[in-house]
Amino acid sequence: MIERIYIKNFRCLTDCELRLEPLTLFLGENGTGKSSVFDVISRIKRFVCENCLASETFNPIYVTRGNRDQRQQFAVDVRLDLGLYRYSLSLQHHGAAGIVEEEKLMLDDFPLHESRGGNRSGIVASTSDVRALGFWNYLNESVVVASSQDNVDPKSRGFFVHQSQNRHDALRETLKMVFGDRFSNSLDRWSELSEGERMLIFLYSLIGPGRIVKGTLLLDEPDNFLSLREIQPWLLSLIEAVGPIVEQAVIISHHPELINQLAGDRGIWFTRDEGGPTRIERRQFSTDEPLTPAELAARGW
Amino acid sequence: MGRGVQVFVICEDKQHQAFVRAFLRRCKFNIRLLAFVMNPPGAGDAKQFVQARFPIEVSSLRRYSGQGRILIVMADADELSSAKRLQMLDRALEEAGMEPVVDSEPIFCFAPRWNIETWLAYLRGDVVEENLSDYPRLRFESDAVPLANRLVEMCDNRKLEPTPPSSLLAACQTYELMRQYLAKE
Repeated sequence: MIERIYIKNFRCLTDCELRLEPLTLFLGENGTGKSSVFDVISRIKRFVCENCLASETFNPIYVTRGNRDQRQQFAVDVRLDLGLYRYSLSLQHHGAAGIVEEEKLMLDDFPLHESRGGNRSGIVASTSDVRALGFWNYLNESVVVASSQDNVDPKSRGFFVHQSQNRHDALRETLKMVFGDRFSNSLDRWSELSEGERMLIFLYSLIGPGRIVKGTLLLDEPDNFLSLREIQPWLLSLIEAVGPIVEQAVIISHHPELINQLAGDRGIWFTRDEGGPTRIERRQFSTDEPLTPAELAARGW
Repeated sequence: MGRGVQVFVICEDKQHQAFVRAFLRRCKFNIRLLAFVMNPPGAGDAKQFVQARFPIEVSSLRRYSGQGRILIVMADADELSSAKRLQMLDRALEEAGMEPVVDSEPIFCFAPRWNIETWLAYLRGDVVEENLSDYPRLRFESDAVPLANRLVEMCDNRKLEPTPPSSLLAACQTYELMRQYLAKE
């Protein structure tokens, strides 16, 4: 699972370190950088796994506005069976061309890869150490970054339907377990479903036996499109799935149900003064706190 | 049992919520028809929360009464006996000017003593003492699943393994009433 993320000089995330748990909620006002964290993970994934150019993946327009320093730094620590992988990437933007200043991958304290210069990741190309591929595989196959908008798009049906037949059967089993016969033929008539129904199927497919990955789910506002009565049952299913079924889930949400369930002991609060950098904190709630976490969030306190 | 039944659960904390949910799921209740009203962090004392919420939920259930709706309450007895804790719930209705719960109503109250962690420890196979309050909490919600499954099996066999806490014995009798109620539905 992803244990730590470090981001420097990306949009409002000027110097930001996050330590993640098996289940973590990001909460805070709009524009405080929650989705930007997911965006960074997506970009690192594309850069490392899809051989994308650094200059295109990390366009200089995403450098923190007003910052003269054109260097961006990113780090991700991932704990897998072999140990703790520490990936770091430093970029120095010169005009429009992003250049890799340094890319490094360590396993515990052992260097697996280190390169300077160039415009592409060298993790796979230049290393013969199969242990480096463990990190690559995890990032490529076990990290799912999903926003609600992506997943209700009929085109993303393939995201979970075009799996092996076994998985397909398992997904049907999940749907039957949760919905009875209501969705028994839904996979064959996807376009007839409402956005909420698609979202519901997608969300349960993430945590049932037909799940896409066991690894890390990064879900941006999964409660969008769901009716009120569907949110808590799905959330409690997710909470119960973390550990045995899903290794890790990180959720962004503004919904009071998610905030009250998770913010107390699993919440990372994002705050930001007008135009300023993002600050993050974890909050402790004592029994004499008069407001619920959702009430605090609603007041911007 | 309970496949199409809508269940409302008032509970004190996440330990209650995880255990009751796992228990009901094992009993084949539809997880999408379970609604938990839990004391959120920062909402003050959990015991007071359940006391305050109980009349509201009873009133709602009576107003919107219909087939296939039941109310479950989980309230740790702590230093009280299980029976005394349940009497406190009766008093909450009285103070709200409401009629007491009668046997024919689908309202089922459970009061673990010292608290739910005592039951969890027993279900893990520990010898427990209800006067002690220091049994460990669940690390993850999913840890409740095998424990709840174990209790369902015991309930199905109508026999608890030795030596059950008395509050759990009482709870099993209440669960049996719930089962009989649902069988009539």
